[in-house]
Amino acid sequence: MKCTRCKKQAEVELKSHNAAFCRECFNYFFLNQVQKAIKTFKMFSKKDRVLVAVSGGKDSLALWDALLSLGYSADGLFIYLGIEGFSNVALTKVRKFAGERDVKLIEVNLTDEGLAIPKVKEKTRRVVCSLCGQIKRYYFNMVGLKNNYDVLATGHNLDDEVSRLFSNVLHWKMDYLKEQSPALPSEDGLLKKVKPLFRLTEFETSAYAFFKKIDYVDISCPFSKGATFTIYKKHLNSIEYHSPGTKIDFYQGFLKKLKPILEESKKEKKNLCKICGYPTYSDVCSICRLKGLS
Amino acid sequence: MDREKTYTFKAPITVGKVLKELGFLPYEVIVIGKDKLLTRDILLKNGDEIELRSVYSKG
Repeated sequence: MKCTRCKKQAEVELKSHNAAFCRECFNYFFLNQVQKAIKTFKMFSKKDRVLVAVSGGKDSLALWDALLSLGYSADGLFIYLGIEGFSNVALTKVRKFAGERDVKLIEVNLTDEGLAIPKVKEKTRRVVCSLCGQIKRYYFNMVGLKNNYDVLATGHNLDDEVSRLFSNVLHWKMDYLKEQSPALPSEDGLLKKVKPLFRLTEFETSAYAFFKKIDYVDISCPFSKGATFTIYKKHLNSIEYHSPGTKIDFYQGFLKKLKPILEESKKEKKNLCKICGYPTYSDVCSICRLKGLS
Repeated sequence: MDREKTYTFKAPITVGKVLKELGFLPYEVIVIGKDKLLTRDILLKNGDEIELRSVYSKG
């Protein structure tokens, strides 16, 4: 198979783009897709300070690498979850990535915050993955605002976005559908959030991470076994195999056709937590309640 | 996919056929051989070794 651009031996075949690429042309394609996402959704400019939420996985590290390659000012934020056999591996990989590129990394240790995930799991009956996500989002926001960043970027890719959309549609979660977007503007108490990898699949971020020799975490979080979204991703990949381009069509169709209708419907007014100032629908946010502050 | 498990196939065989026999769709794994990614049409010869790496996020 030959590269569609330069006719050298291809290393990556992309049916949804009706193309195949050699290593150099694939990296060019990848960065182009990231740049297109940033421009289309006015995510940020070269003047902005971007904070990249990094977990140590391939997507967030590929995003950080891509933003630096494109010349953006991007620092990293790592949340240490306190999960034995997992968090230390992730921290080592993220520190190595930042050290090799001489870029700033901010670290937050949830153990010091009284919110280490294994301890939180003991305290509540809620699904630990959703709680962990909620705690991480809280600190992404707080650290970003406190350190005067303009925008928070996460490594969510097309498969993450499509599986989430699929789940939200299957269960008609209208409030979640309203909030789903590659870019969420800043609001009172909330930093602007963007997903510059939303046009790229997990296969493509894996290929980019391999080509750029990014050393990422390749072990599973012990709490994430059997996660529903992975099952949805497998089903969606099966549909994509039989009908290439379905995933991006599904997501872009949502953004163009359903999202404008949803945005017209009135949103419930949020308050600010009386303890920490984080937006919440009650007087005290769920993270302060978890910390036992109310 | 079992971590670090080794499988043997009769050569010559294409990468696509190996994926099919192991039950993978093409975009579920990246296929690595001699520090390169291999597309489905690549024909593997006797003695060739490849590594399959799952693309699904490990969360």
